[in-house]
Amino acid sequence: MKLSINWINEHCKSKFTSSELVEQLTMSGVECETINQKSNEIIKFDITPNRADCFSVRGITNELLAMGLIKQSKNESQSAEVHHDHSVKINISSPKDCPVFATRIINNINSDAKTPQAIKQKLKESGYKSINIIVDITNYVMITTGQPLHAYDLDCINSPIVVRKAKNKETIELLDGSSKTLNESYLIITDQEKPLGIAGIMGGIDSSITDQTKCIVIESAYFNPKTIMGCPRMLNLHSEASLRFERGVDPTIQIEAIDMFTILLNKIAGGENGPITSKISEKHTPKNKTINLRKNKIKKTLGITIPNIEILAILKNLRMDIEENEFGYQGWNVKAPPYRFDINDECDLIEEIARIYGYNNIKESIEDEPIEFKNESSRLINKNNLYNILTEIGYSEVINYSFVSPIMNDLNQNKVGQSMDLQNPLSIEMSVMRNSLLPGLINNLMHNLKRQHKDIRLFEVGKIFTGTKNKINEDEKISGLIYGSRHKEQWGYSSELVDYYDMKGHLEILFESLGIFEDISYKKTNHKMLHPGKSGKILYKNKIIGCIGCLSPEILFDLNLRSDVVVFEIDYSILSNRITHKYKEQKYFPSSRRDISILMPVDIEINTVVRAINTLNIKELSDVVVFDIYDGKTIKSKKKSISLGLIFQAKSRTLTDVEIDEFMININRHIESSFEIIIRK
Amino acid sequence: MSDSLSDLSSKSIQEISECSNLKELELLRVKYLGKKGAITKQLKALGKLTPSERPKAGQKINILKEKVQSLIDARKIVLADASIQEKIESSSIDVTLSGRKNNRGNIHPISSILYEIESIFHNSGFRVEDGPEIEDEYHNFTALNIPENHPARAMHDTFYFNANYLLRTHTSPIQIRSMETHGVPIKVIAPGKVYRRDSDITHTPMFHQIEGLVIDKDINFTHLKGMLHQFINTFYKRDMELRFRPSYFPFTEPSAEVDILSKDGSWLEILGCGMVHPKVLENLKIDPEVYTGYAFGMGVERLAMLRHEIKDIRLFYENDLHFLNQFK
Repeated sequence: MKLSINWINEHCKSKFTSSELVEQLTMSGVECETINQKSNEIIKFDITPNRADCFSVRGITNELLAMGLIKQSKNESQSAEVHHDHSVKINISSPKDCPVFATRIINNINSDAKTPQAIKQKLKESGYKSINIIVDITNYVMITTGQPLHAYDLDCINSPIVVRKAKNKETIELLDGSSKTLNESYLIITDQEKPLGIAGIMGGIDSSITDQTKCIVIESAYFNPKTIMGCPRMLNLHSEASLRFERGVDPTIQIEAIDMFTILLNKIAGGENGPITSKISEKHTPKNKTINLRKNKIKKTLGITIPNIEILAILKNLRMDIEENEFGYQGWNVKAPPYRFDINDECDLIEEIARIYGYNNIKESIEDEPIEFKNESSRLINKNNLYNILTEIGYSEVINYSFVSPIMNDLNQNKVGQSMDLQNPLSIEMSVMRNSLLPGLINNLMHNLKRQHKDIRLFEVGKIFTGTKNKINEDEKISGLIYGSRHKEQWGYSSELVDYYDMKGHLEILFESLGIFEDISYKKTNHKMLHPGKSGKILYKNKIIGCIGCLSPEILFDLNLRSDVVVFEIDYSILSNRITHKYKEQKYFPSSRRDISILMPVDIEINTVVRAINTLNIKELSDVVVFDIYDGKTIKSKKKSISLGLIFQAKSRTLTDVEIDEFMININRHIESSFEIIIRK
Repeated sequence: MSDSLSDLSSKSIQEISECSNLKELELLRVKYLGKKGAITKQLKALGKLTPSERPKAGQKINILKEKVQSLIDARKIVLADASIQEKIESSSIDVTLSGRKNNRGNIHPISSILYEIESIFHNSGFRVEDGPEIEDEYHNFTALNIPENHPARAMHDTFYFNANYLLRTHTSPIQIRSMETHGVPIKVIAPGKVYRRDSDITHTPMFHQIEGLVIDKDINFTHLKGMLHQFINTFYKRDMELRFRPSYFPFTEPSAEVDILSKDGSWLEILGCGMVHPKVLENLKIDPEVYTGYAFGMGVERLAMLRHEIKDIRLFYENDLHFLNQFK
């Protein structure tokens, strides 16, 4: 809602500047700002859903009264003269939805009359186009009082006027030229044969006012907000009337608004007035109830004692009915004025008192609490550990939207459950919940390659979503992606591209930092996104926790990428497995190393050889390192040559050459007999 | 005999003084003083002399031996110096050349702020709670005093999966879930992703919030003000001026928005808060006559935008390294 400062000042008989008014209203909870338009300053209001009463000049005036900024002036509501006794019959089939419905026929209006400049100006400043005298005055009265009015061309109406629920698939052509198909959730106004409008939202085109209209029926109604609520959204049709009806208007001002309209119209364009005919269902008209306001509850909620006299002054300025309870010792019985139907409970009253008293006049304090010692948050320690390791190795963190395109989800194998599809996505690219973080990382890779980044390392922590019939699964994952050179381009390093083993090394550092390195193993896997020969599943204590591997050649081809993209995705919960190891006493005795080179078939995993050596249980063998792998052309086809370094160390003595020679004979014999391999001399 | 000794003497002196490196010098030491060295041989040959000749001859040889030893030692010092000098002269590097390194990665600015806030609240006794991002109507709306068709639902443009399931529009349902699980008294914060159907320079369809909830027997508005002021001072690492403005949230009453006074003198809205609405407590079978509490919530993107002077919220989700690399 927009109002000019002049209109407000005129109505309040005040002289506020717009900045004064904005400051005061903002601090009372009516958010607003000045938007300058040439000479006259306009204030734009952003009204919270609970304050329907503020949608008018009168509402803003009430707010200024409540704050004690202006004095109450007598409400001079006048009744218009009645010139004839023509009226329309009204038939309300659902009084619950329409408790108050008032109409008046006005004949012989001068259709040549022009809207006075002063009214035109105000409407323009509030963002309304001047249409004709009748429509302009309905808008003017609405902005002034908050009561939307609707005028029908009398000649287009076949009495009686009926207010009823729409029939299924009933259609109506509206004022804005659109056509809507309705159902039983909408309330409509009809005459004998056709719909005249959707109640509280918009009138129909058939009975609308034209520049030739001389005789009208003016309607002023109170619709149940619950009946109107949601309808504008379902129809995608928001009007100034629906904005007010949906939140609720004052149920006591319908007659007053018709009179105000009539008097103003008569003054400008003449016309002969009929009587006001109305149907009012007292039973369905909301009435504010009396609320017991307890002094001790005010203290308990706000933490301060406000003197009785101040509380009373605030309530009076809010135009509440007040009755003392035990002379105000206990509190009061309070009833809010009809336009403040948002005040239903004691806590609503306490909020009113607090906001008018001023939140900033309430002191600050700190709860008394016993001293409590706390450990550092393990959740944060784990996060910090992860962040430190990954950023040190060069990974930058990204955050992607949780929804992706269905194509991206299809990239991943989705064995468990179906995908979670949004009913109302913003676009197809954001229409399903991701079932892996990897497609998002691939998108980030492509984006950054386009921006000429060459070496890219990314990670993300976030949830993935899958659904089954009975359950929605949300699992937190951590994923990473690397692409490009192993080392930043610099002197002294030849450029080498990252491969599977770079990423595996990164994960190993992570697992070592958690103390779970020994419990992690890898097995070959078949993952739709990954190269079948260059990927593995990751197991922790033999339970699968994720995967690692190079993206499949198909994906690389589709993305037009020429070198490997290595990725991993593991359960985030693995990070909480931080193990505190017991100290193992160790005296130092020098170690000895023996290197061997072996020639073996390419399809045997090196780790199986290492494991075989370990099965010999030589406790003096402290470590086995793979320090060279060669599968070049000089070696017989389908063979690879690997070099192992075996490190021997005893805990209580220095080993002799003879002892180590014996171990080596043992080891050589064992692996030669277990595999089809040759130990090279 | 005597002749050969003086020969030995002059020869060794000459050789040692002409020796040009440490390796040769070591060879000379072996040649004269080693187990089979020339001087050692002379000493061993003393046994062949008569007892009367021995002392004199022995003395001469020993003098020579000491002399050669001291010459070698002196020469060693000279040669070592020369060799160090030569090493220094022959091996200097360009100290201005860039060091050997790899790129370091960065933490997303949203994560950094979440981490910081979580840590501040953890330190003052708040437990951290998590909740599902796919929520049901009850926890996201109804339990929070937002009944069906309430205009407040329009404030949150919601993504739906079906009539019951939706993407949470705020972190407030975690309030409900943690009260269901832990009961009262309670002191929790809940950071997380939230979703609203909105997209422009100041809105993204996904963003982050942190929600806080404190419920106990004697909690009132002054505590809410005191706690938030301390939090904001801690977060900004200086004394901040605040103002509390009345506002509206269906699940708190009184409700307030909190503005901070920025260095340029304007007020910036940074969080919403209020006293937990008695209806919310009643929904959870908690007696609002006994227990009261406060709740607060803040948008993490907004805090990050203010801190780093970022104007377009969408940058957070573009994940462009030019952007991310700026948050070292």
